[in-house]
Amino acid sequence: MSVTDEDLSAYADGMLDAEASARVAAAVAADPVLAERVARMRRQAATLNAAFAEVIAAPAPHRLEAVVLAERRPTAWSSPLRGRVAAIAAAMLLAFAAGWSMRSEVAGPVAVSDGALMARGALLRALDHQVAGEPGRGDVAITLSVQSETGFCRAFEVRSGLDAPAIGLACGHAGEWAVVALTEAPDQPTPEKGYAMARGAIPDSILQAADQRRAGDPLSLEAEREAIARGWKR
Amino acid sequence: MATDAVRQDLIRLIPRLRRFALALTGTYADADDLVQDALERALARLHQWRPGTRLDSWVYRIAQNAWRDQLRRGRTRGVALPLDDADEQPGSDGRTDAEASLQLREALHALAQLPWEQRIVITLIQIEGYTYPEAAAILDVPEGTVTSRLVRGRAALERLMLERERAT
Repeated sequence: MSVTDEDLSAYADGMLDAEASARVAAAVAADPVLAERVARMRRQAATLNAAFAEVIAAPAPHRLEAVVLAERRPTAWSSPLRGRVAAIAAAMLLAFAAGWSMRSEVAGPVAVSDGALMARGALLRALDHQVAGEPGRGDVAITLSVQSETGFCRAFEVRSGLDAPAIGLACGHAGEWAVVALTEAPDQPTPEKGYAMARGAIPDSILQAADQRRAGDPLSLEAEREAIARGWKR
Repeated sequence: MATDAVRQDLIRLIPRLRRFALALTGTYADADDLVQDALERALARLHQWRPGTRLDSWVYRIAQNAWRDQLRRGRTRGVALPLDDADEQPGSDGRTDAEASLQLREALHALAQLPWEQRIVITLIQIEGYTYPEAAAILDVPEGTVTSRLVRGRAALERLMLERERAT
């Protein structure tokens, strides 16, 4: 019975099933030439494997670990430029899809700055100081605050300053909130005061944007007040 | 979006990925570039990885694709430097490959002389310890192809190592 090179290789590596292995073992036992070839194959594999063992122990450059960790930075204020541009592009697309144009007045709720869509004016003030559910001044309501991977994100509703009422998600800290998602507010009557909005009423696209930032459970009122006092820094 | 657990798994894979990449590229500098390329690709398409399947096989598959792309573009040196010049080659972090033991440099030198198909099969199975079916899945080729490349690679390595022994 002939034994191929492939058989010998697989036998030497222990890759054969019991039956095939027994067959090759019998042939190897009967033929010193085959036995020598198997021994050389195993020796060579062991030599090669041993030669590379030191690579595992060698310290890897920090930049490799940094590559894995880099992506976790929040999108808006410290992520690589391409992430920032992608977030803006997505937000702008949503805005344009809804038929809006960004008003250029200084007082508008958002402005493009350094490649990011940043909260301005009444929206910025609300993000900085307003507790979720609190009736807003300047037609801005905060609906939800969550802790993200490295900071905070707050869902908001803007009733004026854009061409249509909008719901969005801003991530950042006091004075610097990047709008990472923006969508048209659902066409439903909003209570005259007390914007307190159930999480269920927040559009999926906004919740998804929050989930992408590994948002945790919504902050309690107490936690929000504490975060406001600390300027939304962790 | 990468979860913390997946990130930790990727970080734990780095030493093994470097070993794989070093065997393919022949120098620490090219190996680290390849690992970085592979990690970036893996993170960018992490949504394609199915939890419950092996992350390491998936990343190795990405790494070997990245290496083959580099070969096609002629971006790597492709072949390890001759042994005598190896200590001239600075790696990342100022490391020089002179830090590699003579045993490792000899192995790299021998591997570098194999056709890439044989080099990668030998590396996956004999250095990285994958089974034949696992190597076939990583390379996306039939298992028979893996076996025949392995046999040819083994024979070629055997000759190279014998030559080396005679020369010294």
